Amino acid sequence: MVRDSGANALGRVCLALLMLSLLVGLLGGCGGQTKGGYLIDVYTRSDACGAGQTWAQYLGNYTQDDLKGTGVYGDPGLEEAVKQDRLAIGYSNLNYAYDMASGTQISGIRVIPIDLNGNGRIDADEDVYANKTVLLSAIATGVYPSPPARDENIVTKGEFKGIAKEFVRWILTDGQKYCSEVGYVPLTQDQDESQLAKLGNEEPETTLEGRIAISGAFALYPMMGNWTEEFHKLHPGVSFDLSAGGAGKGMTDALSGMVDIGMVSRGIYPAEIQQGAFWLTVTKDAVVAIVNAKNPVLQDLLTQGMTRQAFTDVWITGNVTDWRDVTG
Amino acid sequence: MRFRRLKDSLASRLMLSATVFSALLVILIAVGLYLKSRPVLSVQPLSKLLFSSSWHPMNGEFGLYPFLMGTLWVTGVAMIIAIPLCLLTSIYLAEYAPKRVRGIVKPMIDLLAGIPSVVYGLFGILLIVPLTKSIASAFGSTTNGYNVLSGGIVLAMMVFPVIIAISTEVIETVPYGMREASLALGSTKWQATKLVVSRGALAGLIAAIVLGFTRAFGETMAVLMVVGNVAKAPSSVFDPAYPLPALIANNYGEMMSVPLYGSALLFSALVLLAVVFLFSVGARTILLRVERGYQVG
Repeated sequence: MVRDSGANALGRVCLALLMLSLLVGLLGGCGGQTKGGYLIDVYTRSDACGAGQTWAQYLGNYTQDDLKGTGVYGDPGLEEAVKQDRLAIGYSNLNYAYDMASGTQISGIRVIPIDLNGNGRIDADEDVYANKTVLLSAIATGVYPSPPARDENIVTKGEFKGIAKEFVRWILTDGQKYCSEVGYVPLTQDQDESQLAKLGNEEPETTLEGRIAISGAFALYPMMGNWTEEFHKLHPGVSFDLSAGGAGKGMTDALSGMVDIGMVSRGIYPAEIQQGAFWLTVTKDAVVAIVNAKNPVLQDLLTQGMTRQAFTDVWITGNVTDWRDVTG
Repeated sequence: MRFRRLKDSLASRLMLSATVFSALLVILIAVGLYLKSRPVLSVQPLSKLLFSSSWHPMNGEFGLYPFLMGTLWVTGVAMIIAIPLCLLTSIYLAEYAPKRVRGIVKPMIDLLAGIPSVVYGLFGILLIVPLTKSIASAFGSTTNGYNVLSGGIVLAMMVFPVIIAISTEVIETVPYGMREASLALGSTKWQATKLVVSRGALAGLIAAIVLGFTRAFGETMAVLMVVGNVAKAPSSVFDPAYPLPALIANNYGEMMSVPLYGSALLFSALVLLAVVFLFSVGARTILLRVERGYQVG
């Protein structure tokens, strides 16, 4: 008897606690639907990344640390956060906003068109977001501004050597034809030639054998994966260690000699050049602004777009906090 | 004969050097971190590093106050959730539960300890973030779910197995005679547990909680994924926070970009080490008091 009542009391306390927490959760679920207005939930990347740096640069002379908002780790994390939150705004690498296979926008999120001439609506020539092919050609022709379109760089300490150098030479020549099929913009003729000149003369080495270690930006990772595969087919003697861990990691690994090639999806800082960073541009892509597909003002947003100033009001100054003020 | 002696002294020396090595590790780490954080210490005074709220590494401002507060808030919330739940669970498992229930429940809780922290983080994003979002709106507060409370709940789940496993064992070590004496005087099982067993196990229970705490301070990945990472000291559980370990994990990639940045990150690691150290010294002092109290009383 004694034993049972003790156990029961304890059980009852636990049960009551459980019920209480469930009740609070349920009540909360109902409350969220009715009040709160259309306050914008601003998201940014928490990890040091090329996308954040590029987006901050687009908004003015800012750095990633200046971007306000909830910090989420990695491109996939930010995409998930925006998918779950209908009042969210975020930015993403192009290849995480569009489906890799079909080239359409990923379901659950929409890309915000940029109102380039500031006339309050998206004109026909500004409407370049329907699918990846259209957007890529807009980046190539400069219709989509840079930044947020950006150069994707590879970096090493001093200069590229040995087989790594020959691999880079191949990327800048034959490798360029794979860019558009993976979802990147190939370099223009001029750019390509200047980068090849910067790379320097061919090595006297004739046998292409060995391992090349590569790490860095998430944004360049899919492209690099394709290049390493194609190069391995041509030269089976060459194999690769390829990993993604963000632009900063690519730079740190390259400068410390951990890898032969670091992938960096942002500009190179003066302090990094002082430490011996040598970089080449290998392809281009872009950062785009994204919202939840169930955004309350989605239709207006898609027809009116947002100006650079409007993005700055949201991410830097915090002057605009309600979705209804974005579309007016 | 001589060979046996030789083996004996060899074994003892080997074990001695292993012990010295592991004892020195902490000092080694602390010294290493200190040496690497000297550049930033020579640029900014310690008080400014610790108590300034301005974190703009690109402009050379390294105020760690928001991150310190973030760590304390998240850990605090986690322990408020974890301590009562864990103590009740371990009392139940040690005192009340039938053998069969224990045989099923204990391995399940132990299994929690083996789950990788990224999995806890994903679970947090899928379930805890929406949950705290609705809890907050029930309290009339708005948040997107990435906040101190989410971090605290995820962290609490991660320290459960540590605290429960240790406290259950501690309670079991209380001599059975003490319970019998209490029961023989007519106490209920709950009274015996509350008045006799819990006192006998107090020191051990405190030690279990301390171990849980020290794990909570340093836990990185899972917390980082749900806590919001906004470099501003939180003022409520529905505010986002940015704990020290998350700061290091998010930014160690940029160590080479600004010369002082790397140094500031290593300094924040040193601060984290100091916080954990201070905490465990404090807990040990309390523990000693408790134990001495028993010997006197």
